[in-house]
Amino acid sequence: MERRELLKIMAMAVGGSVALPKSAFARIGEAFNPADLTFFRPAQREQVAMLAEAIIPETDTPGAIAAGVPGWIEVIVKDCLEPEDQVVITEGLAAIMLRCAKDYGKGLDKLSADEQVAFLTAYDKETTAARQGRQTFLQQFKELTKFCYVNSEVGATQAFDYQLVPGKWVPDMPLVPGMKAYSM
Amino acid sequence: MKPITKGKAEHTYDAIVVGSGISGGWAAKELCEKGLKTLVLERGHKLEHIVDYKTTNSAPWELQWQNKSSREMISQQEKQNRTGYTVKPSQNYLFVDDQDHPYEEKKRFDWMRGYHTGGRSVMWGRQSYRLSPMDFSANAKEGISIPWPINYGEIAPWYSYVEKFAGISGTADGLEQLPDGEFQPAMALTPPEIDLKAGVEAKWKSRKVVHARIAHLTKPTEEQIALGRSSCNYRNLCIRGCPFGAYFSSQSATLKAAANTGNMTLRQHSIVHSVIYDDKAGKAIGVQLIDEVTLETTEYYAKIIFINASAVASTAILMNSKSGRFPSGMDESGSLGGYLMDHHLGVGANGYVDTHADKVQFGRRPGGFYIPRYRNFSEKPGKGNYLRGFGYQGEGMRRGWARPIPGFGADFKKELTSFGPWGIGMYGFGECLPYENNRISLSPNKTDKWGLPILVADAEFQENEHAMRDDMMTDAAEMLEAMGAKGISTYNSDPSIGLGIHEMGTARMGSSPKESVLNSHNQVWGAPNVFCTDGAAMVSSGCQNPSLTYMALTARAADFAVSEMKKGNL
Repeated sequence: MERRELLKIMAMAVGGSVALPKSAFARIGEAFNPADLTFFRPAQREQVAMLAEAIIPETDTPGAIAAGVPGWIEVIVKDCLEPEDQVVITEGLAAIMLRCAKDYGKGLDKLSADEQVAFLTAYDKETTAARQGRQTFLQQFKELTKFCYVNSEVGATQAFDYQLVPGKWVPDMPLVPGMKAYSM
Repeated sequence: MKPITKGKAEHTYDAIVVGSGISGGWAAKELCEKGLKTLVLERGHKLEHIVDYKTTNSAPWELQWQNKSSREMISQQEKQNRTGYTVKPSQNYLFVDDQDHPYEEKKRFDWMRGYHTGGRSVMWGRQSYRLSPMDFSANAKEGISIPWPINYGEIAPWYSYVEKFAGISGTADGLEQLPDGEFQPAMALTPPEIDLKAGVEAKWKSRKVVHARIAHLTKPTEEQIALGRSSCNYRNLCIRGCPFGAYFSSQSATLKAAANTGNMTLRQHSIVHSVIYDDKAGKAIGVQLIDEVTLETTEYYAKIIFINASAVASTAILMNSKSGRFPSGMDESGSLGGYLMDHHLGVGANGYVDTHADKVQFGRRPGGFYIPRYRNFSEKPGKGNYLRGFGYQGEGMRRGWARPIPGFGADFKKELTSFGPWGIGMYGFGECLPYENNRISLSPNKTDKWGLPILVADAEFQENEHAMRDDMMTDAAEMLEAMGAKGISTYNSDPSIGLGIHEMGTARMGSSPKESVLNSHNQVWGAPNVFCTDGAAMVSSGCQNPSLTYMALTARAADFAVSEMKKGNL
């Protein structure tokens, strides 16, 4: 069902004669414009994608790439991060890829799923110790991947439970195994 | 520029209300319903109910940067961004552009503003508590500042009056320190919140955990339904404007009621420069305004003028209203601009519980629980020595994706998309004493783009506020311990005045023109047809969220104003 139809029904269901004008549901413009993907070089763009996918791979639900996470990361890094934090991302990306090549002799995307997890876990441990409490590149990149995945349309609606209008409050609903967490 | 005075009759109303926010909306409704032709002046742009809430249904992926703030937005709204949550694509357009609206900070002052129809009633926190008899008598009892000129009994019926119309959900808890009101059904507590209530009330007979009282409809009245309002849909996207009119805003409630009378004229882009005072008549005759867009100066006239521009802005208008009688602004006591208050916050504790793992909340409840004040009421201060006290707001919900989750790959993803444990936390709101030297003033030499002197803030939290923050932090942790919470962490950041967005005082009420700006009916001393009923009028702050009190003061003053006008006294 279209979201706007659902909302109209919701408005009628709760009593009160709320007339919801169409303009209340207008999109406020395309939030994501492919023309904005100007921050990374093509090679970096591929690295962002393979690292994001290694962090959130495709399972029974889509992974980071299918959810458009790499593009979101790029526009956020470009427009939201301070220059010094942008450098953390670009330098960190180069360093982790170099390390992967050194340790495994191939790119991150050519590793098996188990190898990816083992590599990232070891790299995380090592860099965390070296950074002495400050957030590492990998931690920043992981948080960004997580944020962009849960806030993407694919991630929010397929891997999570996206509820624009819950319509009711239940403080203690039974939790059935396998229930997806809320996207917001 | 010469004022446009042609067509004086067309510029004359029975009443003028300056501001369309929480208190201005109430003044408009009350005056219009009593039959007065009322001109409401809003300095900002039009924000029509529902239609103009352009992001109200936007999903994160429909917003730029998935609703993160960009560098450019933050540089444009550097001061508004100090809250950490206002300058996001979903709502930054509801907060002012700091480049266009400068003010000077002798000491840091976080001034959060929304210049549009409804003002901050669109973005407010909606927690609605009465002040108690103890709050109205504290100044007198302790010899702090000046006494309130009214007591709780005088305002109690007006609290009831505004609660019935606004719609407050909550429970009657029978507490002297947090008087009950007219409530719609409360939004139920979650399992860990119920545990918190049990744990705290068992350990301390002097403390209570109650449902938050919030201005959301849960069982709308006929009157509210007729205004087009309906029950809360538990979206908790309130700050973007509610398409259901479920929470109280000027748009959803008071301005609509005012418009329904046919007596209201709402003029946007109307920046009030000053109140025009007639020295011979001994009262005000109107206001001078500057059109925000055309920069033209105009005058409007009325028998009654309500100044409801928000605490600091109302005071600025009174300061700028100079006449023979009031050569340095509408005050003869010297108190105008002094005694700025706010609630100090940024202190509390968080934890989680392993219990109730088979339960989860559904819906996003816009409130939670409230712990009313107990220090210097039912308990003495714990650590330190201070007057007054604090309350807590908080909630217990399943932790979501934002929690720290270790690992990478499929296992990480599985954990990320599952519910975390129930988290529970609370954060304090502390009372601020009124200090003469916490002042705002008008800049002697700097003006904004409309030629109005910019505001200068020179205020800070002082010894008494800082003295209670240890208790605010450690009490929160101890109460979480009492319910068996784990992983308890505390925080206590350096508070800055304004960040509570409860700025109040600076044109206080009082019993004598020698020490106050307003009398017990919110009339300006010496200008009896000028009323100020927003936060500026506050004599002390309590620790409760203050908007409900502004509503009650406004309805009370409007009733008085019209009865005085009918008697020929204004």
